[in-house]
Amino acid sequence: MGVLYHGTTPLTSQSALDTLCSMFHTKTQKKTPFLQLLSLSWPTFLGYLFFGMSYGYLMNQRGIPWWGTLLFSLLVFGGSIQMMALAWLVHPLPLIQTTLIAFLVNARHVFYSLKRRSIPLKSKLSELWSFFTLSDETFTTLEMNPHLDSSSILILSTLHYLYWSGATLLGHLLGSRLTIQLQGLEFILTALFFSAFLNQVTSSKTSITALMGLIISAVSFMILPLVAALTVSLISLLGLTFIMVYRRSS
Amino acid sequence: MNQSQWMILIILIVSTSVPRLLPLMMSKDTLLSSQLQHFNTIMPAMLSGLLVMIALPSSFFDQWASPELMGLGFMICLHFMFKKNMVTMLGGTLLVVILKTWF
Repeated sequence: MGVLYHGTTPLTSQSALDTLCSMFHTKTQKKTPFLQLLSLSWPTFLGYLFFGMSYGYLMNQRGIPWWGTLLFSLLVFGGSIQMMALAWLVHPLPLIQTTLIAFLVNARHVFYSLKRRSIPLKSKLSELWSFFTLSDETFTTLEMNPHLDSSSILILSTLHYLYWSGATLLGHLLGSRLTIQLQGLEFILTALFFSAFLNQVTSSKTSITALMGLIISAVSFMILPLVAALTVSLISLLGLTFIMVYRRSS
Repeated sequence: MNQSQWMILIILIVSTSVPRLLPLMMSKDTLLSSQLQHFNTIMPAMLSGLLVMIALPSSFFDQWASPELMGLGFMICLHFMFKKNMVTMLGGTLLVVILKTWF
């Protein structure tokens, strides 16, 4: 068991974790054990391990130093846009185009943050951190486990952040020395998202909207290239949501 | 890293941070409005389908009997049989791994 130091008192990693939890913990909420949080994050761990290592390896192939790979993962923490930007590192696009594509691809994060904003956190810093580390996978895991308290949310987000950063660095350093014989492991992230989708479909409140979202997105992705499909889907889904909210309120 | 790579890094940092942190600037009154509460119920359900599409490989629509399609079908069966997210995810992924590795 690892030992951390808090002031002059050595703390075991478990008690250090409890201290960390208590920083963000409100009295009305019940803490989720760390092991349970680890078990909730395993699909993301496996998915990030596969994609993160592939990303690190490809960054190495493009001549980016290891600290560059780590910097991208630590400061951007956006798998889809990082993967997309791999090509731009070698063949840069005009800056306006790069900015526009990056904003379009990341626009969906506004809705995740909007949803998570309803959960109060103790300090402004922890709030900023939980929003910065809100990825597709973190958001989906939180939607599937709505009982999690604010400290558990922070720990889970941090775990996901560390998985991604660690995996990209590992992929960069190990490079082609590591060969994985199993194919199809990358499906774990699709499985995570599809499982969340099935939960929405089987819920009486959201079944129709979830199905509409899938159909609109599927049609867009079938007929359009990636960035255009993403943009059209997001605009259509947003428009449809606004209509539904407006009809209900009026 | 060269200058254009640093520029790309900065653009990516801004483009990922701004959408994530934008809702922090909203007032409490706006957040408590009934329209936004309803919006927060509908939007994640709408986005769940989009996320599935983003995560699927681009070759998904090129072939009809792809391992991914079978994996999704198997996941639907598992979801209705067991109603356990972990079983659904693990079962679907195992099937895709088996189909892609050995067939």
